[in-house]
Amino acid sequence: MNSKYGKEATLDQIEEQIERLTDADWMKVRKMAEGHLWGTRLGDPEDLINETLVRLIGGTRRWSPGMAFVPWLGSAMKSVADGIRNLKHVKIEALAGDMISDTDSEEVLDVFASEDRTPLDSLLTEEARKDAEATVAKIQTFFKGDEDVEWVLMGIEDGLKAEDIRETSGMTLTQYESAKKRLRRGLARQFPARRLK
Amino acid sequence: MSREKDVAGTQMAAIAEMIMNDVLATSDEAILAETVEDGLDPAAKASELRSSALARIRQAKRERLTRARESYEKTSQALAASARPSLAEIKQRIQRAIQGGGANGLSLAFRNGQTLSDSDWEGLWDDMEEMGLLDDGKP
Repeated sequence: MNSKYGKEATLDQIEEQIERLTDADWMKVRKMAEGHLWGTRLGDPEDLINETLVRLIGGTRRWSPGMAFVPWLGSAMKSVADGIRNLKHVKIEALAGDMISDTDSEEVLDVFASEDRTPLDSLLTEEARKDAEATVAKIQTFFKGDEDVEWVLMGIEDGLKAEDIRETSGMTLTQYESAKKRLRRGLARQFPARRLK
Repeated sequence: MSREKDVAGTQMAAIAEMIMNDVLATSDEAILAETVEDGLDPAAKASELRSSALARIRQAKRERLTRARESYEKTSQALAASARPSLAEIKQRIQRAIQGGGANGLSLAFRNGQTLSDSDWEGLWDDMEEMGLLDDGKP
């Protein structure tokens, strides 16, 4: 299958790409996987990485050498996790994160991890919904009192873009970036496995 | 289940996306430093992940090669079978080739022809043909 990014990678090309990943690339992949674990039954970010790589190797997730691999892998892990926690498992698995067509701009955004929100376009399993509710409650409690992070969380809740959050809260770009970093680092430290049961 | 019930899920999806974007925008040096802060050895962890991924890829390549080989062997066996003359002709031409010195002096472990099974004859035919020992001008 071809896309505007070129032909689907061969196993040799995937192998070459994997060999080229730096330690920092792997750590980025691992951190992204942590973020996508919520509501899945996977207990460890490496489970999600492996699951996604198995699908890439097996050809059910397609990457082309024209695509930046680390962002692609982030998006593919998101899609795999979405598929696991979603009631419409099969349909989502078949659509999200796969080789994108020239005409499907929404999936282009998904693959390249755009700042734009990707809507949760399907129903969650009961288990995933409960996990999400518990996690959100814990996150809000954990960051209570950190006004800037609370703004970021509220912005996320309302689906606001970064500039809108800054404008509403009065944060400078540096303050906003710093709050976002505190949120991410706080989540990593407080909930290292991202499974908040 | 209504969409309203997925509010927390939507929030979590947005948080995960924020994390993804922020990680991608963070410098390599900062990511490595964070990993150390989190109590992990980035080089060791990366090596573990890399080895695991490469092992999976190599296993997939081996499996693909095995499948390709099996498919090739199946096809070549089918082709050889369809290209062979009748069993009677096979026996006649092999015996003629051997008796007439068509085997170019090659010492064949040729048992008494009566003890060969049909598939032995076919196998011998394929081997001799591959070695060019049946070059008797016939197709």
